[in-house]
Amino acid sequence: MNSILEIRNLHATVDGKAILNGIDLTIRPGEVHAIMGPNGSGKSTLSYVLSGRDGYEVTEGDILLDGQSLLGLPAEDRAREGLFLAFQYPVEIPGVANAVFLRSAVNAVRKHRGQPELDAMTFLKAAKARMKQLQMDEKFLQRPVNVGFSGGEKKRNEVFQMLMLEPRMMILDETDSGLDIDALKIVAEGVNALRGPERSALVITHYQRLLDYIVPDFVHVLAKGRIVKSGGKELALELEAKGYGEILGEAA
Amino acid sequence: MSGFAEKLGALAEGLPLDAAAPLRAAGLAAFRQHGLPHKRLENWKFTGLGDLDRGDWRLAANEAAPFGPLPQGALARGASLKPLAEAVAAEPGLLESLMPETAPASALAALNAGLLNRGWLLDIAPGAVLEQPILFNRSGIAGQLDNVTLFIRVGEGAQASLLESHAGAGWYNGVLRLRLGFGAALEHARIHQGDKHSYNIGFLDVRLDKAARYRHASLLAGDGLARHEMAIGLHGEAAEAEISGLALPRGDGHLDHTLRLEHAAAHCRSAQLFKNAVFDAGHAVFQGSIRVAPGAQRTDAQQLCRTLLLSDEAQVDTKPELEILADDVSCSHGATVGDLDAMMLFYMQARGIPAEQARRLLLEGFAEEIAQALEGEALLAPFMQAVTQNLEAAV
Repeated sequence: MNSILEIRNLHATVDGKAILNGIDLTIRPGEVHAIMGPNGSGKSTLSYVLSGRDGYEVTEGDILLDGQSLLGLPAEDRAREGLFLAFQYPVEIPGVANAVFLRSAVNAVRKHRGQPELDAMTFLKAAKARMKQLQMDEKFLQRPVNVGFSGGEKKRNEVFQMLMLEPRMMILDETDSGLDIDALKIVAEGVNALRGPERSALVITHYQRLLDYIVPDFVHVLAKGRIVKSGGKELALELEAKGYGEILGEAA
Repeated sequence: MSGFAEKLGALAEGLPLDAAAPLRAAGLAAFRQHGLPHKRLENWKFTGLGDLDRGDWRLAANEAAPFGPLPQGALARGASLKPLAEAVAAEPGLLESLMPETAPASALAALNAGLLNRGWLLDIAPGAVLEQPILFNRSGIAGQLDNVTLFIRVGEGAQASLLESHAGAGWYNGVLRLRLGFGAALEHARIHQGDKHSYNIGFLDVRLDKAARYRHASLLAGDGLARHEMAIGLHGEAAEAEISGLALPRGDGHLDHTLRLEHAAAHCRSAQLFKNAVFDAGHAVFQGSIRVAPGAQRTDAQQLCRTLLLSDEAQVDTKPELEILADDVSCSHGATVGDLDAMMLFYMQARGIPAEQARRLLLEGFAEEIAQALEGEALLAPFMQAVTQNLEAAV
């Protein structure tokens, strides 16, 4: 087996409208791939299709995680198999404390892996250590999930969850949006800390800026639901310099 | 004359001729005039009592008081509990405060007085501070009409809490009258978890004197029929009432919170928060009215009702009413109806939380706000425990 995530000729529709029109992508262990593209190219749709959101229908092709098809699996099973989507717009959940939410998630994943569930004390200890790493205030544990968090705090909370869940495959959807440069650095350090030979990442972004801090092995350009160009990390710089118009013109 | 009214004479037979007899006579007369409330009455249009009319009922005997032992040291601090008839004999003036309302919609309060057999007066002396809650627990038995009358006076500056819980089957027809003196504070949790063939009709009448504070949280749960009707009167300046309720009907349960709140004095504050999470073919009702009397200036009265309909057959009826007869007031009311938020569910599932558990966490979060009216852990913990149990049974 030499891929963690394999996307084969993926076609998908939302409300009957074709958004993804044949995506092929193979991500091997330890690799970080970036997908860049203009607004409306299908970037966020790809992240939702991979993570299994209702209403995002795969009409052709396949998605394999560690060689196993994810099609037909609900979102919670995909997450427990090791897929993690860091949301572009993390969802606010009034009435549910961050700690309760995250401990439920961690234990659902541990149970699936055949590991014993964490008791409240062990969980808190682990959570506080990760929060320190992300320079997050411990008070966020007792607050309702993302409610009243600033844009930067929400993104930091996403990476915090990721550190706790230790996924096989990280998908970051526009994680840089709404972050100032200091927050961006902290978030990137969190992601980089998770990089390793057994874990891969797909970084979806509009701008090259994030890729200065999370340096990708490969960069792909998405347009109209297809990957139109692939290259190394220098492709991101080229995009930044020339703009999408010129690159897409070349690719067409 | 309806089926139940015909059987009334047999039910009332054998009640003692004690000091409370005038109360029974007045109650029976008023009830005979109106009979059981029916859907043609505006205040009862969403809740029908046909089953009560058809049933065969025996009056529950007054075998044991439903009170837990009074909190340790309560008696020493001036709390006292005695049967109502005894209390009326010692204090004839009480009769007047116990006389039932005579309107057709209040016929069950009249019936309660008419059949008075399980009644108590609880007095909490001025200045007394009861650190532990007064417990009132009952569990109904099929075929029995449990007719309970409680009169609780919280003296000037006294502080107390009351944990009331109802379970089981049968028909409960209860009247609880609370009188809060100047500066008194009472926190009151009411937990109702009824069986399929249970009919729990409670009438709560609260009068607040100047600067008194009353906080109430009610849980109605299960697949029976329950109506918790509240009449809250703010009769002294700067009194405060925080009233909240949660209904979790499941099966074909029918759960009704009906509230009349009156601002009769100036500078008072009231907040009402009611939530319904309706499962299966359940039916929730919320009727909430606020009346601001002429002269009750600087009134602050807020009301909010939020409902989640969790199945295609789930039903809710909400009816807010505002009658404002003063001009310098801040009043608001609102109602929302919806389902659990799909994006919140997806977010939780995307973290590996199973759909069912995600729904339960969201529902617990929805419910938790209701318990915020309770400050003391001694009331909060059993309230939330009952909420969690009922959500687990329903989801």
